[in-house]
Amino acid sequence: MRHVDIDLPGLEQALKDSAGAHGTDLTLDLRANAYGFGVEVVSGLAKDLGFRLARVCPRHLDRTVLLTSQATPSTDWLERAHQYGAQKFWGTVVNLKRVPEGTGVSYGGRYVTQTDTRLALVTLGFADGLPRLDPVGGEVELAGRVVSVAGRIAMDQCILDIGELEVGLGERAVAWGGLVPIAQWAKWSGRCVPALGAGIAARVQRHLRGVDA
Amino acid sequence: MPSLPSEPIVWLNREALRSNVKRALEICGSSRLMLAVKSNAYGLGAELVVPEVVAAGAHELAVLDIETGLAIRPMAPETPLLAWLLAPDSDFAAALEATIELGISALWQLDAIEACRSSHKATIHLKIDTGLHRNGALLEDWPNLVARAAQLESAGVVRVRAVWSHLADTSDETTLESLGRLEEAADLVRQAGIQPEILHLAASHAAIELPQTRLDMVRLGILAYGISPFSDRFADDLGFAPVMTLTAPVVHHSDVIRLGVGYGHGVIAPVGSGIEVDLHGGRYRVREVGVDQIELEHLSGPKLPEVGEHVALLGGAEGAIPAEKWAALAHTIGDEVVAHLDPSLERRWA
Repeated sequence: MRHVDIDLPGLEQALKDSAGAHGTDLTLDLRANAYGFGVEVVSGLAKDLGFRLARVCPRHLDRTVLLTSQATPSTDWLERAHQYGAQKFWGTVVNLKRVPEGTGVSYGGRYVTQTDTRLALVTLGFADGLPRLDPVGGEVELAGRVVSVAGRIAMDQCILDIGELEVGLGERAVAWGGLVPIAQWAKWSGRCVPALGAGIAARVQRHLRGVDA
Repeated sequence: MPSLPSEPIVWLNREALRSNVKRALEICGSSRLMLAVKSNAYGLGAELVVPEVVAAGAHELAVLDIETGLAIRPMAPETPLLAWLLAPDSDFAAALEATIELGISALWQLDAIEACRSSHKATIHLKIDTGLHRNGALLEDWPNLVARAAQLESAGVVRVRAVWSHLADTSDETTLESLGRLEEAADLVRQAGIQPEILHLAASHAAIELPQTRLDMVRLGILAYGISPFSDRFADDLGFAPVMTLTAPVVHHSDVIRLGVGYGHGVIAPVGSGIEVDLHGGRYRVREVGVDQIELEHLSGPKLPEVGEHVALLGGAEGAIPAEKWAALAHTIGDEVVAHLDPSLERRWA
């Protein structure tokens, strides 16, 4: 229902770029489960590229293959990885309904449809790590288009105003890492990019993409 | 007191949780009480919370999806348990096997139940959209949904136990309209030859504000955890006590005090700069909420204890910042403040 895809080629390129710019003596900042990328994954790729040092949370010490260091750590890799869209946070459409112009949507009726339209219910909410924007806002990628979040983001769900966009149940709705960059969600929520990645909930299923297992 | 680790701890006040359930039962009167334990019991920790609220008298439990229901089921083997966010790839058969009741909003969900050919009869709650426009069937789709449910009930595949909806809590007026729509929808169900046992509509907000929405069952979430669903009242004002307190060790102590907790543990940073807070009698400016530390500049009043001591930062403990207050600083609601707490943090009874 709720997923985060880690694009390994993108992540690897980000680490390579960071090594090229700053060398491999950097202490990589892999706190907060490598800001949602996964400590094992990032430290594994980094080790292969010649990095040796990382800072991790005490509860993740057994999940890194790098040496831990208390030196000031670098998030340069993280910024680059997001530029490559290497962390894709998505849910699925589980309900579709047609509503008339002037329909109030979600808690408090803060969003009112401007036309006759269709609403898609998506399985991402603030308990998953999608920030609850105040009072409303946000955009999500759906079927190759960018659509608006309609109304308050709830604990486990959000609603999209999709107009006549052709989608079915099960369609992926990508919050960030696709057509909508994570930096947009940071701007809308007033939270920093590392905090958004760190905030992806443990219940969100993680998938590694772009490798032949 | 047992020794305290260097990591933050989520403490739960058992007495507060029990008394909240008791208070909720008082408010319910003759209505049943369904407690929402979705999202790891609103971030508090389902493993501690679920057995406790059942022991304290909650009649029923609600989760969100079947997966969570399956995880909760062993903690409360006998309690009615409702799941309602269903996807085409949800494991309907496992839900029926575990006697999880299902909230039904669409025809395809009834098809999915039938396709299980389960030996367990599905207990379902038919959901009508009364204005929230989230889940729930639209009125125009309701007759077909009801007809199909009636057919499956006659065939012994389902039992329609309830008709229900969820409120947008926009105003008293819209809530009463929603109540009217629910009652109309229930009439259509009865006309189709189905006799639902219960109607349910209200969650925390409406249960407090409009007693007539309590119907046969109230679904209580955030208020049971002692956090207010209202922006103008604390839970205490409504007779509920905060259950959760987050403590963290002091890791640096001078004019600037740093606590070993941050957004990496799920603490949402206040929005804006120069935010001031009251903490254990002292006044502080929040300089930064980092990944694993919060930096506070001491402005006046008594200072927090020395390095190594655990300090109650947010939640119900005396001197801590109430979740509702923290939520206001972070431009959100108490629900997000608690639901966001990292489930891997240790939970302890206070």
